[in-house]
Amino acid sequence: MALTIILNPITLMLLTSSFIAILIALITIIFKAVAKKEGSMSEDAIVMYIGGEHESILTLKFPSSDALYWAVLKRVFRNVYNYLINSLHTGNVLDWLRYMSMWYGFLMTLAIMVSILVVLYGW
Amino acid sequence: MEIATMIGYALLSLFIFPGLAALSAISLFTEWFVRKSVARMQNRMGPAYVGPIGLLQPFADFFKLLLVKRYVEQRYSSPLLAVMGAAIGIGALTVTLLLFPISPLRLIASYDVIIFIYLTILWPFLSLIIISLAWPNPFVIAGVSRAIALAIVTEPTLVASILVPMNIIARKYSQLPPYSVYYTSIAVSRLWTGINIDMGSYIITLILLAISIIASIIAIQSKVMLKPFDIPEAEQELIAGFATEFSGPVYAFFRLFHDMEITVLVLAIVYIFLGGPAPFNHLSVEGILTLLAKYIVVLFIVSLIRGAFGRFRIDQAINKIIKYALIPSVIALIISFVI
Repeated sequence: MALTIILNPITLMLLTSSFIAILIALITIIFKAVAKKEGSMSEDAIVMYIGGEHESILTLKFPSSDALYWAVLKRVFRNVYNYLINSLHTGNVLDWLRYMSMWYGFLMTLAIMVSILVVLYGW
Repeated sequence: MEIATMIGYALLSLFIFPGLAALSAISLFTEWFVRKSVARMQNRMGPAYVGPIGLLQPFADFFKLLLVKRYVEQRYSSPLLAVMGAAIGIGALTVTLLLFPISPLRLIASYDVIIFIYLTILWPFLSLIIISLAWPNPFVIAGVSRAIALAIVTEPTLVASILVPMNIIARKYSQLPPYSVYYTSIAVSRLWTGINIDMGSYIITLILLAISIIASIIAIQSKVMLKPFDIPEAEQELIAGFATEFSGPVYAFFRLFHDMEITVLVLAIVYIFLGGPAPFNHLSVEGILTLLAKYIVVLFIVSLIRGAFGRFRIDQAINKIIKYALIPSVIALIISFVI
């Protein structure tokens, strides 16, 4: 015959938690009584299994701040590089001339402006 | 009632039936059933050598791992913590059965569904995390993070779907203690048979129960990480996920914990949604056979899903659970408040 006990929820919570504690103790005792540890602790046994890799591979998990810096720079300058390649190396000499004269024009304008300012206001 | 009698009932229920001994045996049988049925679906033999039709193979595996095999430590491992983690899960799942009518000692309280959630949803999940992190490894961390991602949608689904029949019963049978696992298990068969319920309400109740059963089976599939929701232990990319480093007795207890989780959750469906041995009682041959038949049918559905599907990616898994389980179960729960 079954024994039915009606409790309040808090008492039931405490009772079930104490039952769990008893079972944890029992299972831990069984483990301590029967479990056998691998005797020889070779180097292979004490390192974690990472698909055959050495533990040092985990240092690659987080990129260093230098790597992060260069990654950003590369990403930014890849666009500049692509722009230059697409502007200069089209195979058409006129494109090259247009690009170079644009830059030279810009530099000449800048040099003239700086020269005028130096003449007017001194160094 | 004498205190000695109560202690006797408590010891019987905790250690023998439906406690540690019986639950372990049923769990290992469950493992055999799942392995055998999935193997037959995939045109394999499955367990065949130990015992009749391989019935004792999981027992042989368990005792070999426990008594013969040795566990291998690594530099950061803590075997005792791992075993205590497994013991927390095994203990919580064993004690859960004391809330059901199957136990000789039945512990009942109003709103004991909160304790059911505490024992079957909170502790086993924390237990899995404790076991895994007691043996740290990058594959383990990846497995646990995926398990946590799945749990975010799985656990609310399970809670919402379990609350549907409890809510209907609490509203229709106000004389019973509300939201009690025991009284829900006793009274849910009346919902299926439609006694004292008008036809419109009966049809809506059946639809709600069907939706919540489907949602809870999907949630169980995800919670115990069977296909298609086994991405936390996807062996092709994560070796064995959180079980990568387990060996010997630690692995034996981990497997037992996993089998117990399947068993207790399937039993929860059988009792909370299907009424256990109803329309018979426990202490009759018909009752026991009915209970066994319902258990095997639910377990077969779980095995069928495992055998029929491939593995979902983590985002696919979360989407599917939300679409086919979480949203329907929450809608069913809201409707169950209205009818």
